[in-house]
Amino acid sequence: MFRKVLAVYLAVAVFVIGFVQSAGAAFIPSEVTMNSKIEDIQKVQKFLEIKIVSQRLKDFGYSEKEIMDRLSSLDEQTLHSLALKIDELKVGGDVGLAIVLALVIIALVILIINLTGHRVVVK
Amino acid sequence: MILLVKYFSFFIVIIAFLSISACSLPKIVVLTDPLTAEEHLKLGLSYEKKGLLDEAIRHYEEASKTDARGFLLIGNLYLNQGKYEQAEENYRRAIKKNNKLADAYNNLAWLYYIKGERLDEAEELVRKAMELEKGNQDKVKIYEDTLNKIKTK
Repeated sequence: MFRKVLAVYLAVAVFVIGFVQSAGAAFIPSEVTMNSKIEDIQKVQKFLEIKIVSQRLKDFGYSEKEIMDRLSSLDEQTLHSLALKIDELKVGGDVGLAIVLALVIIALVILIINLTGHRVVVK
Repeated sequence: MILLVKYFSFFIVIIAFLSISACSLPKIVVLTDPLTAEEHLKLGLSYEKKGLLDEAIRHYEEASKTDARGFLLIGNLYLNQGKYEQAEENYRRAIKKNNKLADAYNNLAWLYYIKGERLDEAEELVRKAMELEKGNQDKVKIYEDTLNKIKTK
């Protein structure tokens, strides 16, 4: 009796597994296109995130030593969060603010020049 | 003398302007992309597997500027979500950018098979994929599977 149940169970299991595999086999998943295993891809994630963060710090003018110091103090989770958000940081403010500031400064300069007895004209 | 004082004050104003500008104006920073297209694809795929889909798409899009697989992987992501229109659009973009990307032909054919429409075109697409990868038996087997399923639909 036990053997019969086992045989039926195995037959059903083989059929189900075979069916599931063939149903999904005609679609090429991304990891197959990339010719990589998911585990391998997830292993390089940290390395790539370090590359992103160090390049941004370099772009913002940090020295190699400063970059190394900062990176060595980051744990994996912080590094991951930083890599995700780093392009959203506005280190020097945005363009709109820069334009407004420049206009205010130019207006002030023109005002001061006029107050000192000079005239500013646009030819 | 009066003229000298006027020019001196003008000079002071210019110096003050330059100092203020240097202190308060934001810097313009040129950002460099440190990753290759292949690296963007790998990072995107890693994020996709962790459920970070927006970040994954951002990296696939970055890769797609030079590598058609970027569009293919976006298509796959949308297909897995059941967003067939976006998937189709991206498979077509992948084929347009690289007409030798066999997986894009196969997956577009698979999409039509799932939707049960344009089956004649799906058959042509998968035959094209088989022709492109005729030296790769593993891939051809999968493409044949797609073809058989389309034929029996």
